[in-house]
Amino acid sequence: MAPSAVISSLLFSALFSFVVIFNGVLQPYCALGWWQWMYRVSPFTYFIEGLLGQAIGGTVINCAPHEFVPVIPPSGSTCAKYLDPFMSYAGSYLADPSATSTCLFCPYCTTDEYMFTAFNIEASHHWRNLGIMLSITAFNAYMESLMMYLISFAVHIQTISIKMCAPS
Amino acid sequence: MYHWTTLVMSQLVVELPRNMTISATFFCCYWTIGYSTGRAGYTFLMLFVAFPLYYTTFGHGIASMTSTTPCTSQLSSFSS
Repeated sequence: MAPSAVISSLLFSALFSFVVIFNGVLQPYCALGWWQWMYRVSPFTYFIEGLLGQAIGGTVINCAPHEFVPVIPPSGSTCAKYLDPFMSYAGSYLADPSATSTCLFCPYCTTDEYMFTAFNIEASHHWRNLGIMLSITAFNAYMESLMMYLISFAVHIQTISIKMCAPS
Repeated sequence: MYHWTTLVMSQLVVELPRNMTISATFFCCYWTIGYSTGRAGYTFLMLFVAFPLYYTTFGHGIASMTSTTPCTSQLSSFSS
């Protein structure tokens, strides 16, 4: 497609960024919209999901003092009573559940929660992802054989037969 | 001369020792940045075994269906 190495390298960077963008991390899965099919197709999705899930999954998040969101509960209600319905849905924790004046609210409880809501990454998928990567490897090796046979080998045979049939 | 499967198999097999050599860099870089030992096994499998296997076989697959080097680089960037 490209007429020279310079143009092909230009196209390479443009198209490779395309692949990287749709792996669900640079552009989060929930923001992809119509492009979600590309997220499913890109092998980098499974590679990143496996690695990131393994690297930071299954860990408890502890908010630093400046990361807590201060929330004021209605009078006569404790923080736990006020925020429990929301927390059981969204997942988060309170510095002091029995406080009544200002609740210190940390939006995330575990890294799994954060990665799932933000990037659709589940650490429990890690063996599935390794399997997908190895399956893609097997598919690549199969395609190499097939294409070598269909294109290179067939073209070779064709060239030989053309040479043999050509009138000298 | 020789069968075409010989070419394919040798291309695949010759990459294995090279990949394993590169994988040895894992032991230099993983612990020095402070990652935990309990998570090392899967990371090694994914990043240093499955991924090199993936991209070398992918490169071979693309190379087998194209005629020139620019064409190969074009296709591999498009579909990786």
